[in-house]
Amino acid sequence: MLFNSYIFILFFLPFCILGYFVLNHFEKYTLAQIFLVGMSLWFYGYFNPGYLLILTASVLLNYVFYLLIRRNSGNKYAKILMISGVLLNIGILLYFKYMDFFIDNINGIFKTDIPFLYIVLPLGISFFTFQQISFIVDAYRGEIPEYRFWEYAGFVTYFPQLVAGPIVTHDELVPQFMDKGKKKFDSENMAQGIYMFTLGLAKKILLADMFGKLVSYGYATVDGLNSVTAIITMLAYTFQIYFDFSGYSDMAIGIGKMMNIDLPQNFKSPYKALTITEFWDRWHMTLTRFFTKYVYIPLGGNRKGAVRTYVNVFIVYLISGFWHGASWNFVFWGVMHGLFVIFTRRFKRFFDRISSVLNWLITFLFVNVTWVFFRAETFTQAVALLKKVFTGGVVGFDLQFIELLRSVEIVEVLSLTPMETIYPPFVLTAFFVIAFLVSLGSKNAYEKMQRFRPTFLRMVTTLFLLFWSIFSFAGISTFLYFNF
Amino acid sequence: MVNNKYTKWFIATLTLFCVGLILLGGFTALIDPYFHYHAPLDFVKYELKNERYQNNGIVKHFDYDAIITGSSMTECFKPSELDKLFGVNSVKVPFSGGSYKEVNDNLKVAVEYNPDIKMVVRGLDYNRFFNGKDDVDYTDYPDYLYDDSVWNDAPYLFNKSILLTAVQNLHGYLATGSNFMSFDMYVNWSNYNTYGKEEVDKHYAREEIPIVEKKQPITEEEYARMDANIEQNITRLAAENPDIEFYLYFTPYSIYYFDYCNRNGELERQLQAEKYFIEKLLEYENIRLFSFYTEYDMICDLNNYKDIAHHRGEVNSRILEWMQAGEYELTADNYEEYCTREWDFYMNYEYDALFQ
Repeated sequence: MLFNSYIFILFFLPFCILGYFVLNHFEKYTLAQIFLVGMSLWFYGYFNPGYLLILTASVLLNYVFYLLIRRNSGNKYAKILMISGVLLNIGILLYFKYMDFFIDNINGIFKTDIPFLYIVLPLGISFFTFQQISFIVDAYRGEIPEYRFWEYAGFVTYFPQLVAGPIVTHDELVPQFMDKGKKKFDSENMAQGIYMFTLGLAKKILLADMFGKLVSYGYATVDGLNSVTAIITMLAYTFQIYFDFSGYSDMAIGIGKMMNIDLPQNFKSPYKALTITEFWDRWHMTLTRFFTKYVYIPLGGNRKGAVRTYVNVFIVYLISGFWHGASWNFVFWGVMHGLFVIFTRRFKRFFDRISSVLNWLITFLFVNVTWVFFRAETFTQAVALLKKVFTGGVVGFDLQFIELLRSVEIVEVLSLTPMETIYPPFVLTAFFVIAFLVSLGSKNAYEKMQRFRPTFLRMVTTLFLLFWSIFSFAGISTFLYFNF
Repeated sequence: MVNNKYTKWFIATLTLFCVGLILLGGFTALIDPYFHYHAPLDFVKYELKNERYQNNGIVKHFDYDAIITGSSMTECFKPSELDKLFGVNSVKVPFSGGSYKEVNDNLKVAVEYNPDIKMVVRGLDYNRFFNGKDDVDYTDYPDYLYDDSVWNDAPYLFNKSILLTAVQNLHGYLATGSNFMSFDMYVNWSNYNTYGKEEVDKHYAREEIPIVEKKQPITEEEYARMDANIEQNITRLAAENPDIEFYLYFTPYSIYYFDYCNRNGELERQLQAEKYFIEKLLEYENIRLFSFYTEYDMICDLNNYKDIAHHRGEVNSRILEWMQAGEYELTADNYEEYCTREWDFYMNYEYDALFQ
């Protein structure tokens, strides 16, 4: 189920919250927790019930490992159990996410003809696998008090964060589930949560999806782009992925808040970053946190000299690229980021001396260019698009780029003004101006949530954005005319 | 109460949200631009323009006793002409690019909801004889409009495009005082196109060299497929509804279409398949079948066409007149002769002369 769907907003979410608080009100705490797990499984299985088997098996297996590690704590078996638990999780991930990629590469290198398995990637498997790895490792380290099964299952399956993060750790979530003080409806949290959810929803529907139209069109017509439209396509993806992903995180945090559950901040205005290292402190923060704690530091972090530090940084970004998807494009994207992080660290003095505007520009441009490799279907396509940026010229602007953003309500409003006749690309320009303002010039959604006060203006804003977004879920399909 | 202000904010927001949903969704349901719930209202000026969103509602809720349907080849029919010729009250519900199945599924709904139907005028696309019985060319269908459940209607009720249409429909009436809605002009493109050889040439890429290897007899498998397509998507409805007269016709494509078949080595198959269809369709007493492919002047005059298939609205008008007069009707007695004449003409036509 998607957050941005009718069934989720009009039925699932209200029903889930109501059921959760009613059961807790009558002090049926365990039942409420089981109800929550059940709802989460429904949420997860809505698209493909087959996925449920993988998710539940993964939860059960990991809980068994946890129990075994606890029982053997301090003796020689604990480490073996921990390592097998971690390998099991990685094995599941490798199988479902990377098997066909490996087969493809083996076939390519050894000229073999191993058939593909056509495995359908279970939604969010990268997220819940990482959560459980951290759980198993922490159990081995003795950092975990006693968790009951339903609280554990609730932690992994908790639907707001299940399919796209934030990557919550057990010590953030399970204690909250066990805290009876959090089981009571709280109107302050509810109001904040609704506000946050709405901001995220608006980012996703009113911004990300609109930029998405430019992106799909631009990437589908790379050959026909000129410099201007190539830049528009590149920049549009930069905004699409940010508003989409951070919007999703905002919605997750908002839903958690409605149920008195605090989920960690995941984005802190990443495009405001002045250096690439800072970018990674602001972008998908819970992932960076995970890699720091479970990869970078165990590798030795920065404690073993400059060269080892750079190697460790490189390894982290290599894995990160691979984690983002089973293709060489993602690996290349990760490697570029890794190398640039190393480069800016090595020449830190130089970067410290130049102006912050220039630093921002370098970082933003670098991020833009690397997103091209992240988005493009093939390496060749990415290179072709970047080539167009420089050699596409300025003649032959494809008017479709203007047309794509003219949604019905915008056309209707603009028809009341002479804007369309004075400056036809007005809407296109406006979208980019708004995107820059939202991502650079204003407080991010998390800050807005923290400063939330129950004012009339915020109510109007919330309702306006909520209605506008929900009424934008479904359009009218056009049935392109082919084959009479 | 400690959180008094927050409680008030929450309750007010939630209440306004629910009220807003009911009002906005209720407005769309009331106006009902796609006729999903009810027949058109007197104080609304509806616009007929979106086949796959409106045809289902039209056949379910309108008051009519005759129906014109088919693919884009039938979009330029004027129901008012049919009404005059046959003394009926008709609606037009074409599906641009619609397959036999898609058109027939809509007809089934019509028959189920409207017991008054006595006449169906339906174009059978001449290029779809070899289709499978379940072929449909479109995805992304607004399924929620095609059933009677209200539980999946959220995309209809809470949809900015449809809401805006509803507002425009109401405003249209208030501004003009008229609720006139024209089936004659519904998706009628006849006046918006250029016709003639130059235009047709633009849309036709002739095979440089004839593809002879495609020249193969119709297989048993293909006959079975035709049987299934005919039975499921044409004749079953006729068999089940003996009181309805089905006026079926093969859509008259231009001579270029025969060149296309010829260049692709498919001309013989095409004509054989047509004959097979004729034989199957003539088995039903309430099917009256027409074909205009022996009206050579019309077929070979490219001034009637905008591409290899689509003819201007005047041709649609003539089709209705011929139907009324019983001309070009195929019967058990004359179809063999029709097929022979057709075969002789198109198999021996000097196609190359068209392109010199």
